[in-house]
This record gives sequence, structure tokens and C-alpha cells, in this order.
Amino acid sequence: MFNVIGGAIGGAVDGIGDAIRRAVADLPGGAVGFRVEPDQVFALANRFDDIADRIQGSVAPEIRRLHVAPPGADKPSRDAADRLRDTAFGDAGLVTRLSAYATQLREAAASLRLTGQQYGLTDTTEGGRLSASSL
Amino acid sequence: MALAVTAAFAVACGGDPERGTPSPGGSAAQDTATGTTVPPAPRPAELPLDTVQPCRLVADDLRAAFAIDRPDQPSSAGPGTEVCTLLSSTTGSYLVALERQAGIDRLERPVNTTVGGFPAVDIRQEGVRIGHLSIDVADGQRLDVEVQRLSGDQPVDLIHQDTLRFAEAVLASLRQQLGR
Repeated sequence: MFNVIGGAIGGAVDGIGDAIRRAVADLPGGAVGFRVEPDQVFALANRFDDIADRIQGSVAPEIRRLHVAPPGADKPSRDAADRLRDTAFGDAGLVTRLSAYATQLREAAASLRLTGQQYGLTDTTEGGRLSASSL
Repeated sequence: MALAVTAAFAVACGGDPERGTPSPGGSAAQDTATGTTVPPAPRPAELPLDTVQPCRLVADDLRAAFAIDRPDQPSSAGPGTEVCTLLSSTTGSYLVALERQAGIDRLERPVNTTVGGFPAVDIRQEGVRIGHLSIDVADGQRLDVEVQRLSGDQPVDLIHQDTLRFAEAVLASLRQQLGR
């Protein structure tokens, strides 16, 4: 667990993202709790979604390149391709882990927005407009 | 006052070719049941990708149908390749790639399906939860569509069904834009 509390949170949003990334990297399981100033709830949710966008937007094209690469005709090439696939897509594979991380960022963003709504806050940010348009 | 928020982080570590008789560019598929070689079907039309923008192939109604609610992520994956990654905050990513200098023959895989009547290569790998279709749209050019899911919960068959549905819609949009 770690807490982020304070009035200077707006300027520290980038730092929060970094802190959470570090925390997530350090903790293979469990929950991360944090405290947010009410006027920054939606900004932080947007920040989480932005990070997830960048992860997915960067990873997806690379996955395609990996996925469509022509299969090798010889056994060493096939073995190497199998190994690469496991490294990327296996349970502990990088793609699997990055996807899980992006999922958790999305869930954290959704939790933040829900919390804000429960406290009667109104999302006037661009992210709020995107969320509303998707309903 | 600060709001307390708890989020569960469970596992995260971390030129326009002339119309005419379009011909398919892929290699023939081997019929596994009979051992005979099946020539790929001809393209219903020639759909050159030279002037097309991948993000513009996905219209608003399609975005709504697939819960695409995040800003588009356009990118380039080398000469002749233009990619648009479309994101859903709830389901995953949908990728549209225009390969303007590499047809489906460059995949070195047999043509094994069709999308909207066009010859296509459906690439599936064991243990990989990704839907991928490469569609033979013009000589030396192909349209790739790929669906990647955030969650590991969705059955693989459903991912492939969604991929086909998305690919058919993107292909229909391409035909509409080119008027063919």
C-alpha cells in the first residue's frame, strides 16, 4: 500500500503514474491504495487511461509484426519462433504482462471515475467527454 | 479532503491499378482432407490502398459497435506500411494495417479463408489469443486486421468471430470509399 495525499497533487500526476508503475512492478500481487484530492480524481483517471493508451498503441503494432512473421522452414528457425512466441505470449510473457497492466490501469481509471461520481463530482475533462460518448 | 481509492493490481509486473480481372496474390491452400491443392479464389474487385487512411476506414457506427472509445493511435511500421490502432477501454485493441508494398504472398502462408469474398490468410498460433486476418485486396498489397483482447477470459473462438466481423466491416468501408 502507498498513499498519495496533498494539495499539490495536480502537478504530481505524472509522478503518480510513475509511482504506481514502480509499485506495480515491485508487487507481483495485491492491491494498491492511494488518496486523491477531489478536484484531481478525473484528471488522474484520464492519466491512467492515457498510459494504457500508450501501452496498447505501442504494443499492438509490434505484436502484429511478430504474429505475421513468415514461419521458418528449418527446425532451428521453428524452434526459435516457438521460443519467441512463449516469451511474448506465454503466461509470463511480456505481451501478457503488459496487457494485464493496461487492464489494471483501465480498471483503476474506472474506479476513480466511479468514486468521483459517488462523491457527487462532475467530470468536465476531455476524458469525461470520451467516456460519456462511449455510453 | 482527499478521497481514498483502492485499485486492485493483481498480477501486473511490471497508383491505381486498372480494373480488370483481379487475381489473388497468395499461395494456394492445401486441402488437408484430400491432399489436393486448392487455388485461391479470385478477388471480387481490385482495392488499391495507395490513397486510403487506415483510421478513416472505421466509421462511427463501427466504433460504437466495438466499444472503441479512446483516441486513435496511428503509426508507421516501415516503408509502405500504415497502421491505425483503435482502442477500447473495456475490451482491447483493434488494429488496421495497410501494407502497400507487401501482398499476402509475402506472408509465406497458404490462403485459408475468405473475407467478404476476398482471399485471406487467417493466422492462428497455439496459445496466442489474437485474431488476425490478412486480406488480399490488390496486387502486392494487403489489408491486415487484428484484434487483441485485454482480458484473457474471452474464448478464442469468440475473438476470431469478432475479428471476422470487424474485418468484414472494414473491408466494406474500404469498398465504399473506393466506390468498388
